[in-house]
Amino acid sequence: MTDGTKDAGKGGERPPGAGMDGEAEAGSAATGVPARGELDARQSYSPMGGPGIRHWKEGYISRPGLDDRSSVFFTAVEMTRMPMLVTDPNQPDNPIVFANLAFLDLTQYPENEVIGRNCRFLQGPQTDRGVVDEIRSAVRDQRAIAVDLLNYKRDGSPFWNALFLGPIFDQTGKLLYFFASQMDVTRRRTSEQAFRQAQKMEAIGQLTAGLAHDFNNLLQVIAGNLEIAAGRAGGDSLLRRSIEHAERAAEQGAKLTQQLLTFARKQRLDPRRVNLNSLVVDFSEMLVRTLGSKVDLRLDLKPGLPSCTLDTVHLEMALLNVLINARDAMPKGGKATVATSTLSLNDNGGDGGGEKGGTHNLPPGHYAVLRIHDEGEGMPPEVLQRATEPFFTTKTPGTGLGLAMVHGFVQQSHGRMEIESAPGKGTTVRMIFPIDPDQRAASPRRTAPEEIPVDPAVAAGRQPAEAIQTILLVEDNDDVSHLAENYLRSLGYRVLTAGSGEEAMELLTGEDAAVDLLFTDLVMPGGMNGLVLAERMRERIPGIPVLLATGYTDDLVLQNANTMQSMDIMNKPYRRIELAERVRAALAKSTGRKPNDPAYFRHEG
Amino acid sequence: MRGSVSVAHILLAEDEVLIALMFQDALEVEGHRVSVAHDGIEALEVDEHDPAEVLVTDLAMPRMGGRELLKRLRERRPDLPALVVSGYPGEFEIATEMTVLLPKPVSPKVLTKRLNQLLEDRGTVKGF
Repeated sequence: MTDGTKDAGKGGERPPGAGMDGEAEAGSAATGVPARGELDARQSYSPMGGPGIRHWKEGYISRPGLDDRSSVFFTAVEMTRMPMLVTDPNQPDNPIVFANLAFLDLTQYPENEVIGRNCRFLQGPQTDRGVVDEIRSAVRDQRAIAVDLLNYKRDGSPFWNALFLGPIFDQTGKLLYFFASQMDVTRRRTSEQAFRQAQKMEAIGQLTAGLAHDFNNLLQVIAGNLEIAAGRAGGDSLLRRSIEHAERAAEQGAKLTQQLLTFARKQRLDPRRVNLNSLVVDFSEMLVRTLGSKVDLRLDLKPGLPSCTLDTVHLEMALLNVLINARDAMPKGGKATVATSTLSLNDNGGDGGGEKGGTHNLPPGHYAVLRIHDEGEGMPPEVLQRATEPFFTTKTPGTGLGLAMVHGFVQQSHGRMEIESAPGKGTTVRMIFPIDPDQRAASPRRTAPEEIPVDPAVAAGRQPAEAIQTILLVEDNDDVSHLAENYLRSLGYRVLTAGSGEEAMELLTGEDAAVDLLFTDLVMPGGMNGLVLAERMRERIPGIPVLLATGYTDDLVLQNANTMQSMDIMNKPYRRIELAERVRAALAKSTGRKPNDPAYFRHEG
Repeated sequence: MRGSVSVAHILLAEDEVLIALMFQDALEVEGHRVSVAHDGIEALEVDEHDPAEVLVTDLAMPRMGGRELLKRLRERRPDLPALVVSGYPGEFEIATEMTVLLPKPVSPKVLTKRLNQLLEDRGTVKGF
């Protein structure tokens, strides 16, 4: 191996009957050793969609040289969209001796800037040295390797390169060339990274929520017992002081667990109709006080901004948190701007001049944007990427919970938080919230949301001379179930209840149950979740309207968005007024509109 | 105020042992007699042998929750005053004046204060 010649045993690995045995054919065809899935696909993207089995990991040729460009194979290499190149390890520094046109397309280099150079010119400041070393040792050992590597194009822009390279020998096993193929997998890497980050946040969120819940109970016990002890401490001032300090600590602990719950999107929210403009104006005095004398607060509010349904206390805290960051980013002072605007997201981005929903990861619809901009130092990408992670902080002292809470709150409010920042360019935080969908249709009655007609007669009056409608209510939590059942009854509906999907299906077969609406929890114990139940039920009763209640708004809902066409989703915990409206709207589908009428499909994921 | 309030026999249903102990201590400090149960079923059994004058119950408990417990106890004694500890606003709807809803977390001070109010309102509390 040291003399650059593969040992004789290599021949035994060549595929049988590939032309090496027959004397007549000897020297006329190239042969190779199949990869057999030995190249670790976990480290690198495989263009075949799985580990390569049959493609060669090393080749043996009988006619060295690059001059024969007359065959169909050369045409294929110039036509393929897979970038490829060949290097000559027998020349000093293993230079590139051939690059196909796709390679030039990918890297943007002209051919004369490629030929004669070692491949390392594609590397740059962020290229992983460890991976480069792996490639080097593969070249040294004359074996194939597949890795993902950060490379740079001619204009300096980085791209993730799914690199494969393998040796090419002559018939005696002497190393002649290296073949390499490249593939730009930047988009895949980026979305994978975003996905991993999202997964991480979700995992931290679940962990945090569980922990915070338990801690809340413990803190309640601690605080309660301290209170009892304080009542019995009498005139012992030292004892009283000790208890007082312990109480203060318990209080702080309670505050912290509340913050954790906000991050974990398990905070109890009390959403009400609010206009972002008035909220900002009402809160501006507090904001000015917080920002101090060095920071100048500017408001840029869009007139006539439609209202949203949000928890105002949490929104104020979110705004305050972001502005505190803005203040801390401008220690020498500067300008902080709070602005509002509207945003319309289309289905496909083509019509209406609105933006494409996907760019914000939001369903199509109308949104209000609260934007906070500072002229501070900005964040480098590695800080920006982790900015909403709980306990990640660049401040001393800092809890690392500020933006995590803002993020959690906005998510729980069906919105999205976006941060734009670069060193020296300041930071912009956008909180995007859905605008109340029925804004224009709002009647005066709607402005007092808690005012609902509970009188069955009133409710019945809305559906004159119609048969009583039956709702099948499926919910595993008894308390929630009772509550919904009683309320729906008070509205004049007939209600059947089931504690699980299986039970619901049984109910349906048992009697001649004419069910007009399936109202089910999305997540339930047992094998049948709300979606599966809805599908099964629709096999039985085609087109039956479905209202899904869920406390978890993200993944399942989005993944199943297709199945969910014509299903309504309602977030838990829901208010009574909301339940009444959503049930009415869902039932209207079966009576008035076609079940699939998109006008009635309100995606709230 | 203290002087005007009589002590009572209280049935306390709470599945979190430490919270149950804390409530028990707080109520006993006030002079009340407390029977403790850790779910609705146990509470019904306790009540059968030693009926209480007031119920203090958590809503979410294993085996039988507070809602069902209250319903069953009111079948026995329709005018039983009750203090219901609830985790979520709107989780429980108050049907009668004899029911007081307390949102979590509940401090012992608040618990005893509301309980005493409930007993006063009732006006028929028997002393011990």
